[in-house]
Amino acid sequence: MARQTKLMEWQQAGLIDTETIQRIKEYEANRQKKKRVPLLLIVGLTFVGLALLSFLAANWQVIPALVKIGLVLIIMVSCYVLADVSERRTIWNPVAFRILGLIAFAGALIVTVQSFHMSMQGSFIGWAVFLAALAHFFMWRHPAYAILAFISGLNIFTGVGGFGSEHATFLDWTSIVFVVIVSLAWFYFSQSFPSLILSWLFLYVSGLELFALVSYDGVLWPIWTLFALVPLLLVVKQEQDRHFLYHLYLIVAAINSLIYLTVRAETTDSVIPLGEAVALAVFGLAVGYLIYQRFRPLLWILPLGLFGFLWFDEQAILIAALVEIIAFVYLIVQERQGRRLTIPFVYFIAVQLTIYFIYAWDRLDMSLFFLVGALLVFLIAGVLWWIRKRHEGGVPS
Amino acid sequence: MKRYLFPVLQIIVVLGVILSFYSISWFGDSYRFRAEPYDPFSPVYGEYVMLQYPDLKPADSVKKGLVYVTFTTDSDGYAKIDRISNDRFFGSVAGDYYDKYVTIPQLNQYYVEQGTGKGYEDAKKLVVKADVSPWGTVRATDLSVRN
Repeated sequence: MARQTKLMEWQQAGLIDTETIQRIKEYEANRQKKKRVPLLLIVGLTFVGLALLSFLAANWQVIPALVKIGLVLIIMVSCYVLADVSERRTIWNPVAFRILGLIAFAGALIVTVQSFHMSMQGSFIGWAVFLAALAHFFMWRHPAYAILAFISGLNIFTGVGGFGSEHATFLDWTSIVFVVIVSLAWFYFSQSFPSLILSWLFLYVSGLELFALVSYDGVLWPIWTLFALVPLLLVVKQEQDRHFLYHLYLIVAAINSLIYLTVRAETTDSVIPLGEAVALAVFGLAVGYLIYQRFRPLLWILPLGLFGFLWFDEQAILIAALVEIIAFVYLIVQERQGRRLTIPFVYFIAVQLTIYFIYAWDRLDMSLFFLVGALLVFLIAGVLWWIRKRHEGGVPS
Repeated sequence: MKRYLFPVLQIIVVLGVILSFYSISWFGDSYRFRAEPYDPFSPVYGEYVMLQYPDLKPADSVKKGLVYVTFTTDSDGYAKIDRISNDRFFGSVAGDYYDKYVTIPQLNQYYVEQGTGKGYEDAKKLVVKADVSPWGTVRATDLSVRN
């Protein structure tokens, strides 16, 4: 009614003529009709869907296997049809429907495997959904598909058994080679986030799985893998993306350093051959040359190359000292260069806490008092630094 | 057509899996395995019976770990090990040998109707019908209580 009044007002003011008013009325009448039908349809379809689902759930066990699989496949195809419709008419969200389609695909495979009483241990379903989601990503370039590919791909690593074999305790050679090839292709051809990070993580985990495959009980594999992945930065096309990836390398290196420190301090029986320590240091030098030439911010990961030698010290004093020095120097250098200090500061505190718990664990009752004191000093120092920054007019990190 | 490429490909994958299961029965031999149940329930994947096979007991010369076996039928009509080796040979089925028996992953668990798992567990003596293909895959087709 408000519209009618307005139209009459505009007509009286001589802004629009009768013909235009007629055209507006016709347009609005048609538009309203169009709007009402989908709403009723949605309500109706919801009820029909609910009824159908209840019926299926109640009779699921007596439905023949092929019919069950067929039903899930029909749901899958419907999702793709809806995705197509939503894309053509630019309504709803086509990505959400295709994600549902992929989930229905995984569901169809699970129902198939269950219906035929096959073992769920193999990584076949993980592979199938991973590759399908990745193909979706490259077809439509939406990050949601990449995330789904990552989640389903994780099943390949966590599921016991390899590609085409359900008996290997870890991934077999075929799977590792496939995972590496697919992840490299994903990394190279995506050149966007989060795909760069997700595919990098797959490559890193593949490196870790490799040592289980070659049955070499080494402790330095995470460092070898991290160093081996440095040349990967050469294929990153955008400078901005490369800078973002530096953080990933640094964070993984930081986590590694803390884990090595904890493990070495808590265990006494794991030994590594001197040859491997030398080899890692030499490899570190080679990677260091590349880093020095091309990726200077990554120089901070190089001290990990010394961990082979430092491992010979059973008390882990040398590792603790090295990690402590790096954390401190890194914090100071970042501060002097005016960079964001959140990550250096968190790393610094994590190092202190790790060292504290390793060496003071046996006398924790006494040392807790000092720990609380140290944390208070940290807190006060942080607050004072922040206040000073504000007074100087700088941007607090 | 591009829009419907994925559903078509995905249907082909599912059909491929179904066909591979059926082909085990089309081209393979059928055996009856004496089976014993243990630990029968999974809240995630539904109810199933975990099975072990007392007849699949290898000779002492076989090393523990990954083994390859073929089956034959004994005088009672139940399956037993025909040939077993730690190395793969043509037509063999891959399995794991630990503790006392050989375990075949595809025969390790059998999905049953909701609520019937306990019955199988109490029955103790079970029989599994399974088809074994010439290329070494196994498909369980039936689980019942042994008389």
